[in-house]
Amino acid sequence: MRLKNYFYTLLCLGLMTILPIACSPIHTDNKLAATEVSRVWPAAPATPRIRLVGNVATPEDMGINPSFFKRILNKITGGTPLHLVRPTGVAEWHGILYVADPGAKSVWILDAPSNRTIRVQHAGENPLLSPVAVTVRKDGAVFVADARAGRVFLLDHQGKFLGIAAHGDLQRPVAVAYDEHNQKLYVADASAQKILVYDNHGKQLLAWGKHGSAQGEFNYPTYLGLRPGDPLLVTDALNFRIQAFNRQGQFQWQFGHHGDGSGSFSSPKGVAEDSGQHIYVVDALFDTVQIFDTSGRYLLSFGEHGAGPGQFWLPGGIFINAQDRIFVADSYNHRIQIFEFIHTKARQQS
Amino acid sequence: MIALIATRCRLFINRTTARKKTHYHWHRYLPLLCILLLPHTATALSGLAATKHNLTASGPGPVKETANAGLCVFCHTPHKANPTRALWNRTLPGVTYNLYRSSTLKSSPGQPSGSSRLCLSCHDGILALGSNVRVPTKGSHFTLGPLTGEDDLGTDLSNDHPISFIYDNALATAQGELADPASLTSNTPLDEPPAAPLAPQSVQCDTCHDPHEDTNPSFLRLSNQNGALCTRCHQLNQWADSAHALSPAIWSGAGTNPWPGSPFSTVAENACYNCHRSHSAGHAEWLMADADQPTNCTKCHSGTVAQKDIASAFLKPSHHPIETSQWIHQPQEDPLTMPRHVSCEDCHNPHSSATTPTNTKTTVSGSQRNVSGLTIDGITTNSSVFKYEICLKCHGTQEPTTLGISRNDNTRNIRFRINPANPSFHPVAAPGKNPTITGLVSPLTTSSQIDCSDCHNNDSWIAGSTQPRGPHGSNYAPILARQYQADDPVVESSASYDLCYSCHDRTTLLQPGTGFPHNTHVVNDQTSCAVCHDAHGSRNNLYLIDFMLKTQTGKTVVSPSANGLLQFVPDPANPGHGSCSLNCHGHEHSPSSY
Repeated sequence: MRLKNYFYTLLCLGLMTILPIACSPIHTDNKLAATEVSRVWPAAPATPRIRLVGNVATPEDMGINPSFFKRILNKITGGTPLHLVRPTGVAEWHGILYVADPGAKSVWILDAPSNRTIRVQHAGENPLLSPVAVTVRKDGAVFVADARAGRVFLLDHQGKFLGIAAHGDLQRPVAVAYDEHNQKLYVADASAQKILVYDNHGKQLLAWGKHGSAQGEFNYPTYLGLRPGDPLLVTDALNFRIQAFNRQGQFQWQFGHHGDGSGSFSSPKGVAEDSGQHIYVVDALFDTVQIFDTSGRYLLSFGEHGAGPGQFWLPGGIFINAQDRIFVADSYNHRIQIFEFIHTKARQQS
Repeated sequence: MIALIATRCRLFINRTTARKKTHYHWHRYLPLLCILLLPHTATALSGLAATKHNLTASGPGPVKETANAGLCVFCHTPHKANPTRALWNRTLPGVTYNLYRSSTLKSSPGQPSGSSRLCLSCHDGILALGSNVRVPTKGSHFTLGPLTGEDDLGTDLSNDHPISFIYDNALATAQGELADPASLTSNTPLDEPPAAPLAPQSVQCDTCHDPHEDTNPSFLRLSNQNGALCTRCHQLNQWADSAHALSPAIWSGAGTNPWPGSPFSTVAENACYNCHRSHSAGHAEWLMADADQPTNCTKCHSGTVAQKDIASAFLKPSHHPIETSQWIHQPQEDPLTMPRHVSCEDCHNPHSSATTPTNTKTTVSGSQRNVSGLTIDGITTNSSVFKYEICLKCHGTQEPTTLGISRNDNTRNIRFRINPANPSFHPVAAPGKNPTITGLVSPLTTSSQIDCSDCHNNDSWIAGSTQPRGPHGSNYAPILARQYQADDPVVESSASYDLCYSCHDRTTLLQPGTGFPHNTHVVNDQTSCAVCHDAHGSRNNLYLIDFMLKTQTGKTVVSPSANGLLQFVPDPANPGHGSCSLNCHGHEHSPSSY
């Protein structure tokens, strides 16, 4: 009997590794099989810190199933099943996943609690041309940065257009972060090499930055990360560093250097912070997420190149919610991968 | 200083080459490139430094002091000799990453591989504006279908030229119009996995773009003047002497600019760009410039670029409905099974169309070179010889579903009608069978042949004018060159049967005397030619006789006679004479002879 169990476990594990290779990644088995061992990093015998929870490529992966009637309709009309195309940004609020998918020219609202999928392709009269980043507000409203349209839009949690969130000219808004405490919106404009700050009415309050490599200067600020009470984190892509600023735009600290080894940056993308003040930086060419502390000491990386569970292919944005659930936009695996930071006694000792 | 940088570069290169084999040996040229391309003076930027890929904080523009060393590092990540060990995993040493080479896992279809990863790590629409990448979704080896087929996600993912696919002999042979990959020299290189130099090579971004050199717009390796870059790989049959490859036509300035953003101003110089876009194509399949299928052609063929205004013909009431059956046409479709549709490409091959005129009356002219068709025997052909074969591709396969005249032999399959095996037919597929016919308008004779466009033509066409010839559109249905009232009753006049009278002399026809009394029937009884004759041919009778039972609107015209007969019987002893048994509006013919 035990032998049979071992055999089946091995078979499932074997299939889980072979299937993603053999099949088109679009149709890869995204769900974790019940018998599969969860992936953790670092691997045993080190204390596990990060666990793979699952991934989302289609609404079904979130448990959102179309109604019986809709399924029949799809069979008759041959409707295309919904699938993420090339997600670059992600945010989560109360079980609802918001995905910025410029490949589909859409923002997806995967609303598991209400069992529905909303694909937003217009913000009012404005078609979404290249929605690359999203962030959420406490009331569930979502800010969308459309890089090609040069606009930041505000939608409600059902995707309805509420207004322009940033008045004035933006060259290429690529990242957004919202500070609940002082009710301000932070926008990274990659071509203008600036961070801009707006109030709840969309009025610009502050802007800082210019092209350069000194402190407070940028060479393409591409992603933002903000945790309440902590400095604003900016991925300064072509200076290969993360810079931190206070709410007034004053430089706090920086870390990062260019290189092809662990702890370096080759193609830094999304940046986010967990509840333990650990800073997560996605590196697209490493196909991993690297974790640092605020002094810039390299702690861990998770993920590797590939299309299977826990693997990435040119990943982009990252979002960490209040419960330390980690969402990574795995762009060319056409999915969001979900991890979580493991809270253990060992963490407090580290 | 330059020497110092060159030394550093060479050291860097030596380290990397020691560790891994590289693709197409770019690394050997890198120190040289660094020397050549780094700024020579403090004020003038040249080479790579003057391109958009100068990503230093100075960039092209006012030169500023920068802390970054060199231009190369942004793409050629410097090697870190001592990668950092993870503090949370002290048991393992630091790792060095393989940045754009797949490891043991073969690059899955649907994902960028090789050097394209490097491009796409920046060209993500965030750091640099990039278009959506089209990576093929089905298999590394392509047949024509998946290469140009609809992306199964149903999105615009696929509106860019595909990359990260293997381009080998098998693909070139299967596709049929691709160059042998072995003939591609280093000026359009394929990407080669370093671990296996003889492994199949892939097309990547850098097959067409050289990221170091922007002499040509968009960092293209070759200028695409006259399609030079595209045709390195895409070698289309009969392209070289086709009109689109040779025409010096320019845009008149009216209507839409057919070449937005192009440095070239003639059709020949734009070549492929006339109709295709390699990135952000309007319609993903075949990378067509415009999402509206006819617009790809009509934006020039409206008198604004091409001389003849074909677009206006399609606005006439009776026209081939190219605007409704969009994007159904497939280049390799089988006429016998394809869904009913019509587009410009069904009758014209834009890669082959040439300006050389017809040799004879019936063979295809240059404008219809290399177009598929159906022979008179019902066999499909890839390159029609006769003009009518192209028409038969659609009009000679099935019965149409539109309203039409019903006849005694009720077929509207034109191939059955014009078949030279029939007793009588208009001489489309072969010279006619009636040596006794009189009244043919000069220069027509009994051995003449006609083509479909002699009757089905633009009603504005006059020989030698700039009006386009051909069944594009007409004010007279069904796309007739002149008026022909095929109804019942019809008041006779030279205008009512203008089409017929253009070949069959009206005076001769209506002269009372010998032969069939046309005058009585056509003039006095207001009987249309169409009541007795089918204009294409008759499978059962001489003289194209096939009685009209009902008009297009369902009105009864000819019925069987009282003795139940509906037929024409020629008199064998007396050619040009015979008898009819029928009933026409109560006039009994049982039979009537002439």
